[in-house]
Amino acid sequence: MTEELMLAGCLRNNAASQEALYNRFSPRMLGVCYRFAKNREDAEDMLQEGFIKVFTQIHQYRNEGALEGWIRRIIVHTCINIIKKNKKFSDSVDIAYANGIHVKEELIPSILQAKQVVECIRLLPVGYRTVLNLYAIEGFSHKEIADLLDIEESTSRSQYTRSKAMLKDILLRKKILTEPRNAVGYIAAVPR
Amino acid sequence: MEQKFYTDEFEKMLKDKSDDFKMIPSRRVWHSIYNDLHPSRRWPSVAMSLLLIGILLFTGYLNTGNSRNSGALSNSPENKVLSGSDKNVNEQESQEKIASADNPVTDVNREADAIHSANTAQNIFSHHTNTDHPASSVNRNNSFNSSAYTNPGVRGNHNIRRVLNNAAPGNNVITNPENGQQISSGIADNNERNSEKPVTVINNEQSDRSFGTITPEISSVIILGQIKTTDPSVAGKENNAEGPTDKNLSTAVLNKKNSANTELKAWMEDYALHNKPARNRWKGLTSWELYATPSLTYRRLSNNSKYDVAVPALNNQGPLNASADSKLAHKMSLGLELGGNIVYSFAKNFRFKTGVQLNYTDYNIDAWETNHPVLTTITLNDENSGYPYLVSKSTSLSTITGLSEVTLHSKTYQVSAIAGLDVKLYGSEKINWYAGATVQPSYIAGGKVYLLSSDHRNYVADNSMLRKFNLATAFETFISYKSGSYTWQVGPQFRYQLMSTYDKKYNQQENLFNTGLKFGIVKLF
Repeated sequence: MTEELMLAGCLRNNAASQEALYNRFSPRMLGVCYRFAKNREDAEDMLQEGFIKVFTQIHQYRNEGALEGWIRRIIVHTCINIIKKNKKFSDSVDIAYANGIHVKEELIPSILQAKQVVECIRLLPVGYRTVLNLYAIEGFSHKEIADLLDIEESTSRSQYTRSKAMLKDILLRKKILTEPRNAVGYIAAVPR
Repeated sequence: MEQKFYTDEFEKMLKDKSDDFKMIPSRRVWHSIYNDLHPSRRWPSVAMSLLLIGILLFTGYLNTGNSRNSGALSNSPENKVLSGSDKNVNEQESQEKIASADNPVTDVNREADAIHSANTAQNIFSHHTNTDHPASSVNRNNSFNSSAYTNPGVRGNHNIRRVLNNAAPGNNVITNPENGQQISSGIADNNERNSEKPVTVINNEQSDRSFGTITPEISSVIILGQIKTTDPSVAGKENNAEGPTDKNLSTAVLNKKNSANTELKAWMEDYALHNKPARNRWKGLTSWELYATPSLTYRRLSNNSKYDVAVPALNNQGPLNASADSKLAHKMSLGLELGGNIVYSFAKNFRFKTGVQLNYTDYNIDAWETNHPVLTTITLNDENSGYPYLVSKSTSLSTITGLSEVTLHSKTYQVSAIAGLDVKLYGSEKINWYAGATVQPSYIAGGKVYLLSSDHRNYVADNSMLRKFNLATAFETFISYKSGSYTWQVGPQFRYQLMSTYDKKYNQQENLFNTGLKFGIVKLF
């Protein structure tokens, strides 16, 4: 089924078209949710809520960009809303909390590539990984992140810097990354 | 990968890897989304589930019914059949008591059936009589088998089978000492179903024939049956047929009889204890309510909207509008409602009520009495054509001026049927807050109405214009307070008459409304 047909069907609230669209985009979108979520169950809940929004707001899609990008944006916003609603998450968005986090070596996955990187991202404290996800992967600006998370823009910047450093530390320790020759003293900057 | 360590490359690597990452969601997610998007389509599955449950229940009910009917006894020379109904068994029992004395097991079965029928209609007896089966000699010497009766080798026409199909799982098999009859039984008591007591069943051939263990109920049944056969008048027949009876055994039987009677009595008491009559589903949920509502009655006057198109042409003063209405000196007056309801609590916070209410409505009209009658007109509408016409009336009541001032009472007497719903908004053990609404189809038993003349200058008393049937609705909220077995309630009520007080052909419409304080008392039946 082409994207146009799926869209037309979804606009008519056709269940088959909705399922086709869901089947096409849900794996990648679940990957997005998984990076934000605490576990797979939470990620699936985010995905469910996000796709309901997609289908109920599909008439607002104007064919101006890629459908996947539009869906992804809705999913990301849904994830952020859920994170903000959930006290478990909002409590740990605090930087001070994140500074005290130590990642144990054995928690770092040994599997390769995408899964490996995503699992390393998920090892970050919620506050760190939310900002990292939004800025580095989803392409939000710090101002947008500040608006989304109700934090200061400077907080978003500093949190991103720290989260990136922490992630690099994890990747280096797992030897997914190698330390560059001209980056002396970098590891020491990782907050503990 | 070293180059990815640099910041820009690092971010790019993160994005690339993250974008490559996919996970397959479980089907639960899609089902949840689907159900959310298409809520109505959940109903087919719900309906199918209900249908399946219904079929299962119906099948179960039918099977139970069949089982009940299957408790038949063969009663022919070769194959003796008794009706499966307990009533028939009881009727035949008295007729065949003596005749069957030479067949202890049959008598036992009858006795058991009598007790069985007195206690439960769900038990099913089945007898097996094996007189010509080779296995009967074996059975004759067998003792009780506590397992369910199974005899795959049984053939022939002399089988009488009786199954005591009770809630207890245990089945016992008794072998008839005379002819190898077997009784398969399964009575068990609620409390004593697991207790087993050794019972010796007396026979005419072998004094020491033990039948192993049996539940107390079965022992009662069997021993009663045997006692009957040891009655001197009957025992003679038995002895003639089977030979002399052991006196020691008779003594033992008498002892057993006493014991059995005690056990039977205990069992019956226990049965009564555990099989109380079904609780009346209305009890505790239904109550009666009496109330009175003193209220202030007023009216809303307007043109009869069904016909008002042509009215201005006939009215000197034009239609009855707000301005004209304000010139009329009408005042609210005291009314009263008295009623009684049956209240049924069908849910935790909901009550349905229905009953009868008597209404007295009244509002005052300040008018002038003229010194002589004057001719005026009232506007009526032709129901067929829809056009108004004038009817001349004589009156001595004026809206403007006259000889003396007089107060008219526009009143009605109504009998209303009540149907309504109360919702509990807040509640504690003693105090509850309810809101309720009722519809009240009403019969106007009488009253006095004053029609406004076409020119709004006079009133005309004409009760023929009083509508006989009307419909009202009422809204109320009240606080109830429980004191002992009574519940007192008080709260404001608003009642509005949905249809005009007047006949529909009159060109004006009057809707009565009253606001009052309702006082009520409620008591459970």
